Amino acid sequence: MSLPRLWLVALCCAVILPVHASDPEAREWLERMSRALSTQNYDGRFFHLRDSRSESMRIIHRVDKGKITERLVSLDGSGREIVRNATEVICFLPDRRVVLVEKRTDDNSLVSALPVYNESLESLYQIERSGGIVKAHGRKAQIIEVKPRDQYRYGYKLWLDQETAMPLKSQLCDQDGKVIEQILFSELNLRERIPADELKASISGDGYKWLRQEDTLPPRMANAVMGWSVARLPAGFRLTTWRIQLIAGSPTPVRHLVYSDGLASVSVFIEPRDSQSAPMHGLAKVGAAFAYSLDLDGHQVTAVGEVPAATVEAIAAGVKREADTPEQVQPQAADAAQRITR
Amino acid sequence: MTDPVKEQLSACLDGELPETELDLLLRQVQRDVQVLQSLDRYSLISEALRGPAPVAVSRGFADRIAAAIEAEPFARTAVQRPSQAAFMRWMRPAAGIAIAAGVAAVAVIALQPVATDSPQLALVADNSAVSESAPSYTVPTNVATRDNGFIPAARLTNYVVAHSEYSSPLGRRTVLSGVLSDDQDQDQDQDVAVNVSSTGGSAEPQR
Repeated sequence: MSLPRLWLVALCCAVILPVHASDPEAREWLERMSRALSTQNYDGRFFHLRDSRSESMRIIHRVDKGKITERLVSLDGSGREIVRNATEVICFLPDRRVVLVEKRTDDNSLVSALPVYNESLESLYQIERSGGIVKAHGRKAQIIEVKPRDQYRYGYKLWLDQETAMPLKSQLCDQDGKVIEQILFSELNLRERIPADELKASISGDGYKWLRQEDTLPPRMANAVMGWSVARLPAGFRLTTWRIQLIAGSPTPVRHLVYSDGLASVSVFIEPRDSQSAPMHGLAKVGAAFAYSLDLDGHQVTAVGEVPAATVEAIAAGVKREADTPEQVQPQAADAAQRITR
Repeated sequence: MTDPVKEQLSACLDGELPETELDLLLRQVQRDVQVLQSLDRYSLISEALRGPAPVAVSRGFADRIAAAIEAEPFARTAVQRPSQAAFMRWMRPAAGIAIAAGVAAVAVIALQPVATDSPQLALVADNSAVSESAPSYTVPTNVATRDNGFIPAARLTNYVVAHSEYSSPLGRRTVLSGVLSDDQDQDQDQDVAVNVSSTGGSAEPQR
């Protein structure tokens, strides 16, 4: 090989290698964290800090025979509680005098939602250890940074407990490293077992308005997702699963398409708009999550996710209806809650 | 903010900063607007500490930071973004102590689990500074409200909860914490919109 060529190769390596340089140990930390979060029994208190607000919350997390039950309680202000078990997500909203019950699907969305920290994820996020072992909350911890490479997703800075890999502190950050939200554990106890009683909501919900889904899903409409797609997606996002579902408090079946970049996810809800209601259009915010809604062809399209506003807006704006789609059932899509394999 | 300062700040929050370096940090705090902004962010914790749990904060430590902040007018000429504008309000003399108390309070939280061997435990004293002087304020929303097109609060909560099932574990914690803490500035009527706004420019997806 001639000298100039060698130089070229060297130059290419110098340019390319840093881009792909990965930190396998950082990925291992994240895998450990994922496992810890889904297999450990724990309870703790944390501060949820966002914008000008801080709220003290309690979490109780129990894994029994592979089934996760989790209770989240707001310790100040609203007194809201969320209980998530194998079949339902129940939100007690005493300030609104409402109890919201969402049925969970049979498919194991929990496992599917576990991020896979691989090369393709690293094309979207830079994953690295930040320095050595530090002290956080009096424990030894490793800081892991997951930095987004563009403005369409958020990253995380995580202080993982050296011994257990549980996140003691986590920050949701934008591309510039600006902290959007922080979760700071002030107390975290790993426990051998947690009695079922501790996972019961302290509110009975008597006298509240209960918003539930109808028990029966409509006849499965295998072709229902056909005809709707997102024409232009921000880099890295792809359809990972979809379902037809009933949303609590409404009789109309809703198409629910889930897009993920491997870490961040965005749901797109599409429902026919009834003739009386005015079309909704615009951006809304719940905590650090954004929702963007628009009216398309007599349907209300809403994109929701823990991503920057630009992402939900871009995804909602990219939704297209393909009018000519045949209405026959596609044999390979006979299941209404089909998972698209990667 | 430079990395060393960030590290110092973080160490300070984690209760690990030696006394000597604290002085250095205080001097840098006076100079660096970004550090002040970070302090602003962290100071929010002081609010959280007003809960039932008795958390003690050193008056001395808080006073020193407050004095340092008050001692020097920082770059008031800087362009004021909304977060900065909100921060300015913190900078009234009465608020200085709250920021300082907030920082001290974080150090105290951080110290709790190692309550046996840290010299900075001396910080623990009295938390009256936090509860009495922390002013309540809200960051001004810089988004214009559009008249048509509201997502009803209940509907939005439905969507967000349904979405959370498909989030990663960390993402779900973010989303559900948002549901728990939502609504603090929302109208009582659940059919009234939540923070609906228009963003102006449309986003161009990358390919």
